[in-house]
Amino acid sequence: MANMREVWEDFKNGLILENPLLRLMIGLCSALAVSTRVENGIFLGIGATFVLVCSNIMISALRKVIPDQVRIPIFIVVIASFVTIVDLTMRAYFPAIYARLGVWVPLIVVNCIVLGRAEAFASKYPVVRSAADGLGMGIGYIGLLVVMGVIRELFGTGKILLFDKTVISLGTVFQPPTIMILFPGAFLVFGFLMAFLNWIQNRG
Amino acid sequence: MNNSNFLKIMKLALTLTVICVVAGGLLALTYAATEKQIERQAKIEEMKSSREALPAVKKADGFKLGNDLAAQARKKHKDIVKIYEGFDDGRKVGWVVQVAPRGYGGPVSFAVGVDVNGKVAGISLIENKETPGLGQNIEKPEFRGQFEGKSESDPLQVGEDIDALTAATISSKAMALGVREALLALKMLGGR
Repeated sequence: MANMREVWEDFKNGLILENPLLRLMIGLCSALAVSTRVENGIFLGIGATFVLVCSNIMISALRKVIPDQVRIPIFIVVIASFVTIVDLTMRAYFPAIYARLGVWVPLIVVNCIVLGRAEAFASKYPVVRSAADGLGMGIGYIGLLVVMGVIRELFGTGKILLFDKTVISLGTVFQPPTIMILFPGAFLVFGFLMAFLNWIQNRG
Repeated sequence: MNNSNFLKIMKLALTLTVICVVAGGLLALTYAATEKQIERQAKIEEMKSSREALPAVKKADGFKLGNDLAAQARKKHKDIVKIYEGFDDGRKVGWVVQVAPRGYGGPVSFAVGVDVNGKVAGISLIENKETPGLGQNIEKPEFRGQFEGKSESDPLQVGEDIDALTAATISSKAMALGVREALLALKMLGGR
C-alpha cells in the first residue's frame, strides 16, 4: 500500500513543479483555445480532471493485465469512454456551457495530458498514487486555465462574467484590446506566465 | 507460425476485445441514462429561441414544424434548417425560420421570427463559434435589433441598411444573409 507521503508528493507534483501546461508543456492546444473566459476554463478543467483521475485509476488497476504491445489502444479506449461519459452528461445537464465549449469536450480524448499520464505514470504505479497524480495534474491544469482566463477575459473584454454575473469590471474608461481574446493573446499570456515561473524558480 | 506465438497473439486480441466490450457496455448505459434529458434540453432551447424570435406566440405548443416547407425552401436557399409556423389561440401569427449561414467560425445558427405581414419580428441566436468579443457580438440587441421590422423588399445588405460590427464584418454579413434567405424563402413558399 502506498504511504501518505508518497501520495502527497505525487499530488503536489502536478500543481507547479511538473505543471502539465507550464512545465511538461502538454495539452496546450485546448488551454490556449478555451482560456478566453474564466468560466470555460473551469468547466473544461473539471471535465478533463474527471477523465484524468478516472482513466488513471482504471489504467493503474488494469496495469498487470494490459499486454505491453496493445497498451496504447487500451489506454485510448479507456480514455475515450470516460470522455464520452463527460460529454453526454454535460450535454444533458449543462447545455449552455456545453454549447460554448463545443468541440473541446470530445477533444479531451486527444489531450496529451491524459494519455501522457496514463503512459508515464498510471501504467507503472499503484491505484492510489495514480489517482493522486491525476488529481494533481488536473488541478494544475484548471489552475492555469483560470489564471489565463482571468487575464485574457479581464483585459480582452474589460470584465469577468461568471454565471451571467459580472464579477469584476474595469469600467467604461478602459478600452479592451481585443488581441487578448484572439489567439495571439493566448500565446502572449502563456509565454509571459512561463517566463514568470522561470524567473521565480531561478531566483531560488 | 508456431503454437506459443499464436497463443500470445490470441491473448492480446482477447484482452483488447474484453476491454472494448466492457467500455461499450458502459457507454450504452450512459447514453441510455442521458438520452431523454439531452432531447428535452434541445427541445427547451429550441422553443426558447423560437419564442424569443416570435413573441406573438404565447404558448410553447404554438409552434408547428413545417417539414416539407423547409425541404422545399432548401432547394433554393441552402441555409434554411427548419421552418416553424407560429400560432396563438389557433390564429396564425407568423413563422420562425431557423437558418445556419456560414460565418467566420463555421455555421452561425439562429432563428428569424417573421410576422404575418412579412416583417422580421425578432432574431434569436442558437449556436455559433464566432470569435468571442468580436463576432459573437451579433447576439447583442444593438446589432440584431437592426433587422427588426425589415421585410423582403429591403436590401438587407451590410453597408446599405445594416451597420456592420467593428472588426466583425464576416459575422455581420452572415446574419444579414441568413435573414435575407429566411425572408426570400417565405416569399417563395407564398407564405404571406
